[in-house]
Amino acid sequence: MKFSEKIIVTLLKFAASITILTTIGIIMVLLFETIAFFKEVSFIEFITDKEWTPLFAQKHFGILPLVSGTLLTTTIAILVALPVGLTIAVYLNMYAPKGFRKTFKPLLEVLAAVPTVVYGFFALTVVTPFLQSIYPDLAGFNALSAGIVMGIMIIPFVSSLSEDALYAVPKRLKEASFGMGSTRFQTSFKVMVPAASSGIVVSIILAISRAIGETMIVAIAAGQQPRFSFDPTVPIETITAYIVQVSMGDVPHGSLEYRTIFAAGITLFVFTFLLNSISFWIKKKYQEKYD
Amino acid sequence: MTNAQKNRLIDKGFQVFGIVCTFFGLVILAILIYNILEEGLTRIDWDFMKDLPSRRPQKAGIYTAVMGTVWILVMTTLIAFPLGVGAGIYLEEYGKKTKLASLLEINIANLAGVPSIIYGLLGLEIFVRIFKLGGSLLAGSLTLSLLILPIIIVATRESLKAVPSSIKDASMALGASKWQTIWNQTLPASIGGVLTGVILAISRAIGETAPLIVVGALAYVPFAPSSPMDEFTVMPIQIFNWVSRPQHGFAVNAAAAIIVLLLITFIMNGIAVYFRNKWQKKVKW
Amino acid sequence: MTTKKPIDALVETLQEPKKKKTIIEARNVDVFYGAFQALNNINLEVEENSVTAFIGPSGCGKSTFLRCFNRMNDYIDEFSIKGEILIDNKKIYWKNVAVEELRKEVGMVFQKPNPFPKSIFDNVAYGLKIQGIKDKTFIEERVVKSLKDVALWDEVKDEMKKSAIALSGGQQQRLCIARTLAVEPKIILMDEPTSALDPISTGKIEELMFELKQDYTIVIVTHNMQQAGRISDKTAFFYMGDLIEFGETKQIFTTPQKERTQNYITGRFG
Repeated sequence: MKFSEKIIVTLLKFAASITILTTIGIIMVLLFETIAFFKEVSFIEFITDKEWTPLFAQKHFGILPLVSGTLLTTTIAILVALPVGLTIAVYLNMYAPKGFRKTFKPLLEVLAAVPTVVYGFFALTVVTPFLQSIYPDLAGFNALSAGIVMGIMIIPFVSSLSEDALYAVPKRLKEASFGMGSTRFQTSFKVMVPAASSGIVVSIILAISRAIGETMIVAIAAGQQPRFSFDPTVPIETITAYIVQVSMGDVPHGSLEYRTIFAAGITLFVFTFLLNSISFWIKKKYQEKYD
Repeated sequence: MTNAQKNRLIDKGFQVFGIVCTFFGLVILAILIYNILEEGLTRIDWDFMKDLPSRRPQKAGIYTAVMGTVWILVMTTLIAFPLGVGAGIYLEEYGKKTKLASLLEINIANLAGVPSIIYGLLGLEIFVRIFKLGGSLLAGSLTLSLLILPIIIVATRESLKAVPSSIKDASMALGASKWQTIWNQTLPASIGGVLTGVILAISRAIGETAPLIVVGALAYVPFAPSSPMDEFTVMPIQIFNWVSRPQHGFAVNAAAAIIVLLLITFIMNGIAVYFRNKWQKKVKW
Repeated sequence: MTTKKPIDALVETLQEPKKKKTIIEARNVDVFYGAFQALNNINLEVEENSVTAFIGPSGCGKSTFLRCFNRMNDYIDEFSIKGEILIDNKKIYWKNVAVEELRKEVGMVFQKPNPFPKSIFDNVAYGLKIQGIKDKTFIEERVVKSLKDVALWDEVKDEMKKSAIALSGGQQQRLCIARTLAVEPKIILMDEPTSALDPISTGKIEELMFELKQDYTIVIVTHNMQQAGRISDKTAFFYMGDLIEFGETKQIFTTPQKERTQNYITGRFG
């Protein structure tokens, strides 16, 4: 290899290794600040205390309210995105004319391209007032409205990736099922969806992971009141919204309040890391099976 | 009703439900856009584009935010484009089948799933504190670059993979070195896909709010930035700031700013789709 | 096209009937893909300015062997080779050999036409450009000459800027040959070059090979027995990684020494 080419390859390798440095950086930063955090706050309190009030005089450091807020909005989002997204995937793959699929799949993906701050505005100024007209007791900030809008945002994650998975199912399976007199509906849910199940599961996990980490919609529309509750009609606070809340204020570096955002961050990171690892593992296993 | 009739009915019923679901998202999107246009369109004028922020909604403009977004867009592209494409080339063409490569692959898949706000925490500690860049454009761009690197890398790899090996073989057989082959054949043949990925990634970056809030981009910046070390704000943060205020006038401002932001986002996505289609049409092996 | 010095040519004519020079020599070549042995102890010599055909059933190792001559196997995982291959008396698997230099000497034409998605001109000029040659008139002359050599010039001379992808399959393959000729290799390896083409295009390329033999050494892998019989001077029959028989084509096709060869040639298997 020529010398100049060796330099190029070294540069390319450096670029690739940035990604490793990023991961190491994330883990180091989170661990470093979290360890400092746990020097002042007991780990037991962190995972059992049902109150999270680090910014008040009476300080409590229980992560449960933030976790419950996060799980609540995520659950609502998935309840919207899963049935709608999966139905779209099956419809586009099994029912819709080819041209329809070609037009609407990318069109739906526009939903994921809209900046999340826009969805936050939409949830706060349109969806919440609309829901209040049906259910007047709904608070101005609530998990329901934020969760629904988040669900709409992640529809394309489920629909596009699931449709890809259905598309990859060998044609002969579909033909075999039709050949035995099955309807499209039966073929879809008895043959196609089971055959594509690993891909569909991966798409759902990714959607969940995305919902857990979503920040601006909940920061704008769900409130800033950490509350260990699964009531969707009242203000709550998610892990991400808390980090934003602290970042908007003027918290001095090195203070305990500063460290709380890293402790919250590492909790978030662990959740998404587990989900991503599961989906990666399923994907790998699935590839080995069909390649 | 016979069993067959019942089945056919279910089948038809699901078809209707499928159409309803497909249009559900799009109708919501239409409502969203209509609502924002109705609220904000009349607010957009030349003054709004060139005015500095203000405490009075009627006087406030988005000039500093737009300039901040433009700076972020340019700087993030300059950082992330070479790094992402370079890493993609390395992984697809050089590092294959090595232990490092499989480690990198798992790693990138994981990074792509890390919430953007975590990147904000990374940027806050590394770029803002340790590198002492403060809440500057440079710190923000570096953070966003790391955030979109996985997207660019994956897109680059996918496009390189789509180039048939026969082309590479032909180039090698003529005495081209590996890099000459990549530079003269593989990259030009896959540039459409690479650019599509880069544009989509950048468009994602300029819509990001949370990581920039965490690294300390400010809600109120009195002047447009003039160097990479300046403090800054961007459009999504400006919108977030206005949304959080009680006065209705700011909600109108937010809607108007959203129109501008959406316009930029959709134009970039449109360009990306254009590149993708052009590329798909051109390349028929 | 030939690089022979006049004095050499003179000496050669004086030494008539000449004994042709050996240009490729394989000594005890074993090839492995991981644990699988694809070639067993192959010994073979190829003479200059001849056409040598490799025949045998699919998976017999003939393509693998062909690709050893320009080290195109280097990119296959777990590929390993033992023994020696000499081209012009130089060991090509010597660790100091620059494969890029080797491939300028040993060109290759592939099974399916694989023009670059570039203009016709750029396709033929590519090999020269990557060598760093910048002289435009030189490149142009060489492109035109190469296209004339493959009898494609008259068909494409008015549309040199057109994408090579738009050519017909047969034209594409002749373009790929022209692309190889432009670098002026000594040896041209052809890996089933006509298997994707119609009979008329195949005929044109066979004709071409006959002419190219004057200036180049050609080694061709083919599945087509008649083709091997029509165009080659020598034929090597491979089976299950072994070189079963190697000799004058006429002899192989009329009086094969081994029963396996006989069976294959008469179509009893394969």
